[in-house]
Amino acid sequence: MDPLFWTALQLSLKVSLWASGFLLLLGVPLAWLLAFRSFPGKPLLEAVFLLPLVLPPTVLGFYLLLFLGPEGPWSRILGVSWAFRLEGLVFASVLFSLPFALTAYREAFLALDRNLLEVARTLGVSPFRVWARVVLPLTWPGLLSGTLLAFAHTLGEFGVVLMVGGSIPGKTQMVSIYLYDLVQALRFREAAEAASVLLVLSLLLLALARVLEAKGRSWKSTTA
Amino acid sequence: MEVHYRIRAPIRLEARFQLRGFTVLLGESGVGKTTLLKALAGLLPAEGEPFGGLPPERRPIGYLPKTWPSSPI
Repeated sequence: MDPLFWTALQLSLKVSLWASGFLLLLGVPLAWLLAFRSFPGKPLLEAVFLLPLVLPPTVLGFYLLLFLGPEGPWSRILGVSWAFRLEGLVFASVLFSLPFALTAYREAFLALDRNLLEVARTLGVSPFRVWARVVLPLTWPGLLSGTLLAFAHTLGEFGVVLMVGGSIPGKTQMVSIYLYDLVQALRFREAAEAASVLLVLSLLLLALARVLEAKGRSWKSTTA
Repeated sequence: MEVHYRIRAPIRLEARFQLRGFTVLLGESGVGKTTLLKALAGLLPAEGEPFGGLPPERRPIGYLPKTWPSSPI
């Protein structure tokens, strides 16, 4: 197989891994806030977070390119442009996959029986230990499944990473763009190989996410 | 034991009563029985005595919600 394919796949996996890690760190507290707190402007904030679902990826990518580019506000803060770099790809992927992770996390939290949390407190457990001993043991399948979904979604993104990364072979060319470039060059045999690897990988990731969701549900039914 | 609690949300209520042995709280649906019990357990923001201002884990009060199966799982 074409060595460029492995480079592109490796980059895609790397970006997906970083992005899912950041999504877990960022998305879990955010989803908790959205699930259990109400504050003015909440519907608008939720709409902003869900926007990448409906926005054409090129629109998001265009704004990100302006934001991360050499003249953009982010470069002025950092002193270095993240456009056409791994950091920019990860940044864009976090935003692009945020709705998937956030929705899954929020569902996991909403499925929690809130009485459990309150009873734990009255039994003498501090809020932090309620998290460690009640919330996480009950919600980790949902949180992990959401993270896997975000990982798979990042693996398959195209428009945003094309705009922000620019498809530089060996540097910012992710595997989905690599496939597109192969088709443009009429190299269908290699394209078929690359596509089949992506197909199997995505299918396995989704199946794993479903298994975890089912696990979360079966646990819920024993505590409801 | 004298109980005196003032609650603003989710409903407004003020309650003052004596606890002697086994005490039953009776009232129509929606008057605030659960709210008062939760406030006593420290699960709702409220002011009053006893245990006012303490977090739930520091109050010597247990709470068994009605939706919960009363046997351990």
